[in-house]
Amino acid sequence: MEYLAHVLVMVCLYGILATSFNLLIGFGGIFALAHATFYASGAYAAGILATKLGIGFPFTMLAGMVVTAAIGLLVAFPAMRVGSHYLVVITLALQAITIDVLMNSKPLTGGPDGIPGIPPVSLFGTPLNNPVAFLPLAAVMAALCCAVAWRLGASPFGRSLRAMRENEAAAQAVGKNLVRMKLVVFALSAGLASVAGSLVAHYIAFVNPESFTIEETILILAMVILGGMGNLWGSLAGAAILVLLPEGLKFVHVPGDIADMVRQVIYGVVLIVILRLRPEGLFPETVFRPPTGAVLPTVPANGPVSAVVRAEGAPGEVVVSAKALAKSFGGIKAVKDLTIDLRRGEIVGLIGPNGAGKTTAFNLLSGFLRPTGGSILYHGRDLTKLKPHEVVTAGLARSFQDLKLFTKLSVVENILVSLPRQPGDNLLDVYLRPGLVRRAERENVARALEIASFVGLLAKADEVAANLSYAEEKLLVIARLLATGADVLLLDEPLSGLDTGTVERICGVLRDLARANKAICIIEHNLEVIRGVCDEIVFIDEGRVLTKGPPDTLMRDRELAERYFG
Amino acid sequence: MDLLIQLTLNGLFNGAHFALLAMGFALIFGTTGVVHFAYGPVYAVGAYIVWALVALAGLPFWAAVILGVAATAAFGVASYLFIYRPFEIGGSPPFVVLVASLGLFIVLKNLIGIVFGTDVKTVDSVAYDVHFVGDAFFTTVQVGQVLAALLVGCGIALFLRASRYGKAIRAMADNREMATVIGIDTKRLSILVFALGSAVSAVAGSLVLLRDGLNPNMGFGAVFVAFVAVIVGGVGSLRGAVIAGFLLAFVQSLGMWQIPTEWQNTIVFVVLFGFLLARPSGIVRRA
Amino acid sequence: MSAIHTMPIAEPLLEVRGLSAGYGKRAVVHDVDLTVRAGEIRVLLGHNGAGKTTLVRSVFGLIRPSSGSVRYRGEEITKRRCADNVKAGIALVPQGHGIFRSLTVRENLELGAYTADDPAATKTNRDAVMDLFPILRERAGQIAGTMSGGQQQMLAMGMALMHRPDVMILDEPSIGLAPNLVQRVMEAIAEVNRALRMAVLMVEQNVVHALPIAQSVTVLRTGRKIYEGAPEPLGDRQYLMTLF
Repeated sequence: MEYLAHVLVMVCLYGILATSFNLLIGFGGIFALAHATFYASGAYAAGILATKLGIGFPFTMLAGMVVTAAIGLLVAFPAMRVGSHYLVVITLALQAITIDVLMNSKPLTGGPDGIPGIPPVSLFGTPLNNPVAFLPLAAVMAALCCAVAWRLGASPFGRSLRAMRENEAAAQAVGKNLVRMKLVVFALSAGLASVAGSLVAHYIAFVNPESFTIEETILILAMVILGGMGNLWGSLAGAAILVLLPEGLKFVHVPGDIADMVRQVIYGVVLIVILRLRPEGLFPETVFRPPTGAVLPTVPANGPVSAVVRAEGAPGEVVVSAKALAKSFGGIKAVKDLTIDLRRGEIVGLIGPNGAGKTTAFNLLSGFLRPTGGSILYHGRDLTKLKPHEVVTAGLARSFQDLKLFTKLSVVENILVSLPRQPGDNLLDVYLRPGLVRRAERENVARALEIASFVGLLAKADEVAANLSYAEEKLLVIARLLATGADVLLLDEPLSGLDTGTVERICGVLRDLARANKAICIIEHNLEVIRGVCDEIVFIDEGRVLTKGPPDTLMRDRELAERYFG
Repeated sequence: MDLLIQLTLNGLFNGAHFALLAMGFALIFGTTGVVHFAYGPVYAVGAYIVWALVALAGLPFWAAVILGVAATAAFGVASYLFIYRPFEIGGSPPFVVLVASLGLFIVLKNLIGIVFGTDVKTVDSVAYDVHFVGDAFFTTVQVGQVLAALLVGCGIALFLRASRYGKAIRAMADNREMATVIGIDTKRLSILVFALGSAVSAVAGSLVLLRDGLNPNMGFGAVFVAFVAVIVGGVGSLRGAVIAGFLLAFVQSLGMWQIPTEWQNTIVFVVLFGFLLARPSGIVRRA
Repeated sequence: MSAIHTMPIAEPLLEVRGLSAGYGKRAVVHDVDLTVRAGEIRVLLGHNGAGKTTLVRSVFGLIRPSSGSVRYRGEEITKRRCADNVKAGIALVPQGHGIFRSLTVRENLELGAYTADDPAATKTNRDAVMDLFPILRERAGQIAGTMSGGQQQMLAMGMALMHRPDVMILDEPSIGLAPNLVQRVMEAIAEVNRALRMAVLMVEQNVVHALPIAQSVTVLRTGRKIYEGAPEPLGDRQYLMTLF
């Protein structure tokens, strides 16, 4: 009985660790492998506070969470600077430093001997000093932590996290503040992991550095990968399986230290085998389906230009005015002198030979690159120093030539995540004002569906973006751009690679948008299309504007034709 | 003053060790792009094989080193063919390969513990001298480390510069797609660099066996030092890796003038942080 | 009989039939036919994203086509490995970085003959390439990445010539080059074609410079062939405007 209870307590603790780790790697896509550091921080905080200051259980845990969340924020900084395998290595190094600190700060941590004699949790005067008594507490805490994680995963913030994981540039381009999101998810994930730490300290009554080594992080990682990244139930299952799997060793007669090593070998083998055979894990990523069902029937298919997409103001008014923009990369001037005005209700075509600086111009206008000279005024406000997400919030949004859809999100989620000012993007509101978040979500779903209907994707609303045809993907890009609420839209080759029918359809959408008072700029190579849809052509070559004017006049210009083709 | 001399000597000798480790890792990582985290335990396996051949089978040290180096090369090739190659074919993202490498890391490390035990292994049969410079001292083994680093370094440099395969390796490290375009068999070259890199690490491991003895944890510090040296020295540059290896050893050793010994590893990691945070894309961008 | 044979039709070297290819599930090239005859320069035109690069890369074996076939000298080579194509006499000069930037010019050239087994012949070839591009002899010991863009493009072509291919595929050799350099690169291609009687399949966007050396032209739009024939009609820019 005691033994069974002990195993279950361990399942609960690792369940907390694995679900919190999953928030970071499965939802956020951030491979920071220092989870045992957070675990250790919680455990040592509890040990030190309880033995040195005589503080009791819930307070040791709360203090541990605060300290660990702060450590999480510290780890978040390298995660902003470096990506992929450098982040993995840097965080593994951090993990090794943790052990050094625990080993060498003897007065505080007791060094290699650790901290013995941590008092047990006392509930209503009863000390929980055996597994059977402790299990209910562990189970409740695990349930609470999972609830917190689940709520986050299912919230609009969780959706934004998954969008960030799919594509960071695109998440910025729909107005997400990646710095804020990473800090929040790090703090939360670390804070939850520290709960498991406090519990284990009080439960075992002893902490030492050996329990928090790099192997521990790899073990938790194995649980997440086994259960399936992005699936919180999977993490619980992964924790249960990897805790139970080596328990069989208990019944074989092997010395304790060997059994430990055999366990590690099992974890390593499971990790490799899972990655080989089923890299997505036992369970697929959880689908958090937004409540489209209730709204869907009320939205007309191929909806008209509704209030959702209409921009205020008088047609012809200059919205964006970029003057003498310049950008050089290490001495090479990609853009030299780019001056361009975008007006309400007009479509401007940006054309020019390969390497003329068209996409660089978009990057400058949308804040993805900072110009080395010149200014960008949007309604008189200077945009040049703003970050991409701030530019979107101001009212100027762009698309990418390579689309950058959030491929694992559904069509409606792609649109939803791009809608501005969502209360559900704020974690305080997610946890403290669920009613507000729910109401906002309902309204947002309705708006997202209207936008889907406007571009003609209503029938595919719940389809995963990865399953769309190329033409539908291009339409979704436009829908996402509309959802940002921006009144200036920059589209990078919205028509390339499409058949004539779809080109016509998208041209229709673009004309509708112009009629709805948006200021639009497109990069396009297909001159036929340019002639059909643009009010003005801006011809750029070698980073500067050569000439601008109505399409028909420009296309008759022999010199321009020569330049365009060579 | 004597302390300073001693620390400088330590830096030099340890630098040779780091340089060896870095060269092996640089060959593998620079050419194939695999973050071979299990490089650490593979190096440890090599050292343990040499120990077993000397202490258990009673072979002379030189013979044990030759066999150990060959066995480690085979081990490295096996890790490529059975662990990394299938992921490469399946087009897995780099982090999946890295996580698999971590899995291999803990499997090998613990297998060493199970097979050989966790106590420190040393050999007593190989005698060596201690030399003094004032009060500072060094041993023949440490001289051997410098010689080995020199020989291996020159050998590899010559191989890469002059031989057909060596040039192909440099070509593949430079531009893998272009290597395919001119008809280079990238799989065969990957096998070759895994063999070479692992063999180099086994040379380092054999000498560490004489100098410090072995424990199952030794691979962790080794792969980190190697990785840090390769990043600091610039991915793809063997010379950079060697210089960075020495640099790290000197920083570590001279740092000990002021900082207690137990923080040795931390010093290396802090150097890594500094470099990666300052130059996230790597230190030396190639022309 | 032979006196009136003014336009000899050379044998087809490369025959592409019904080729479709793309990345993942996205088809970029749809059902394209293309023939390159011995000794001719065929230029493949089309705007950005038209599928030109995808087409030549799947011909060479860097991308697996989803359907269709490629024949070389009548032999089926679809889905064959690049190394075998190189040995058989097909060379590719990829877009942009067709060289090993950290190696010397001489090493680059030697690597171009990586699959050749006759060192003497390789040496003769190297001399021939250096005669063709004297700048490569001048710069033989220089690190390739430190040369100018035009010189790098010469080197890339030189590498491809090192194993004496019968057909050379060039993917936008003019990209990133100043107009006067483009002119020189085109002249070099014409010279190679003339001197070595080598067939050339050249992807280009630079119509002005590519057309003068073209002997036949194929135009792609959004992955489909929309023009095939002589280069002359394309000299009319207004006609081109409607094609693109």
